[in-house]
Amino acid sequence: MKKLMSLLGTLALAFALIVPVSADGHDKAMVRVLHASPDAPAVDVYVNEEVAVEGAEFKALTDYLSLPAGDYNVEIKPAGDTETVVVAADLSIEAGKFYTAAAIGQLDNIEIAAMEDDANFEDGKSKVRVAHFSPDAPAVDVAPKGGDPLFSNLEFKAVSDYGTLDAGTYDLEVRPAGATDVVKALDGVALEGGKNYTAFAIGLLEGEPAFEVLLATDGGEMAGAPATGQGGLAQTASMNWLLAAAVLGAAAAGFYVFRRQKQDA
Amino acid sequence: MGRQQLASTSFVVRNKTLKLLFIGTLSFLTIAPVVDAPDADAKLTTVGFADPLVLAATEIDRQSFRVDTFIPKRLKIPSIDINAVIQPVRKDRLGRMDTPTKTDEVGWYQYGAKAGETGNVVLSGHLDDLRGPAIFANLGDLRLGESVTLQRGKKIIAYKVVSVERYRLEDVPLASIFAATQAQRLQLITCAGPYDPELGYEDRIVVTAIATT
Repeated sequence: MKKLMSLLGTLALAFALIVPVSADGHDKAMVRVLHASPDAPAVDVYVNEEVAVEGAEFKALTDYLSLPAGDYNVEIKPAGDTETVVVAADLSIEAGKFYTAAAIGQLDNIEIAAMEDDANFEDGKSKVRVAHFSPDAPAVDVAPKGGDPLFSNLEFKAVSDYGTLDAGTYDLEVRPAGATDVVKALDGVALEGGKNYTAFAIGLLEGEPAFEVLLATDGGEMAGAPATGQGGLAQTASMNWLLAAAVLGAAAAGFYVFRRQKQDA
Repeated sequence: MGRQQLASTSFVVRNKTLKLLFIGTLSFLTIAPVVDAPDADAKLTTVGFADPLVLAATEIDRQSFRVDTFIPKRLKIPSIDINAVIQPVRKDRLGRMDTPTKTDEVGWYQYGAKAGETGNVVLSGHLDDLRGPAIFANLGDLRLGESVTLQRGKKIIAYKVVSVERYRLEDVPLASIFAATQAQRLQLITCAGPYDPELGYEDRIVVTAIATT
């Protein structure tokens, strides 16, 4: 994390000189990384040969890293190992957009799946998509409990389009595509209005780590830092300084006079 | 067509490392009465029960996403004597997170997380007004580990401070504050540093706390 901050700090510094900084960060692209490879070790993520994330374990979804738009090389290495590249990918990212790069598949066939996250929000609605990142699970449907599928026939590696739902709490089911039996019941999935979500199906149906669904909110309504002052304290402070200076000056003058009197005596 | 109702009761022992253990699933198949069309030939309707049927154990693996969330109404930080009303805020004309007009109140960014929800709960408060200190005047005095609570009626969520940072305005880590995260964080923001009559304060203090309840 420290290194991440220092990387971001360095980048921010480098680009502060060239790119005018917008109030709300919309000149940056946002990228987060998901570790969804069930048998891969904890990893470090390198962005253009600089470490950006350290020690991410299976199921870790990092915060969004703010990066200037452009082309990047993302490398994933075993945590603490600077030599071995487990998997790498080139990413082209645009300002104002959000992305998720996921390391998926068993270690033998590991790859990076990159997707753009929807950061356009609708009041009272939730946009939801499903990413099937469980290497041994069959094609699946995702449906409201006992209802018709919202997302159909998603195979391993598939990322659905976003569907729009009314905000609310849903009981959902993951089923084998076309079937009615339930692989996983997802109870009480709370979808907030004005937020978008990705449900990442990760892990293994047969074996450990076990199959589960990681529900993530996508993107974010970016804003500039709030204006939280009106200057009252600053003026008071400068008044205080003036006052202090005046007092010091008077004291110095007094001391000088005092010394003069002593010398004169 | 007769309606079939499948009533099943399952007992499940969960264990993360061991394979799931089924104690059993016992199902009764009941055949509901056949509902005939009104003009059908009059005849005795029979109501029968099928023999109890034991199906192969079908285990439904469940995952609960239930959370108790609320829009925070009051912020308490005992160590710096804050007990403030929270007002929902959006963005101002310049695209900045807004702050309540009343300088003894705190703004809750309504596009961020609610209390208890995964994500960033973002609060803004004034350092000062035109005359002197406002609600977040002492925010920068917070120390690591100190407690912050959000409340609404009897609902309460406690956080503990994990970082107190001061940034130049252009260096404020907006992605950490406003973008989605899997953490349950509270972000408290106020002004600091030199004051420019036109641009306002040049620095921001950002206090980050994580949920402990």
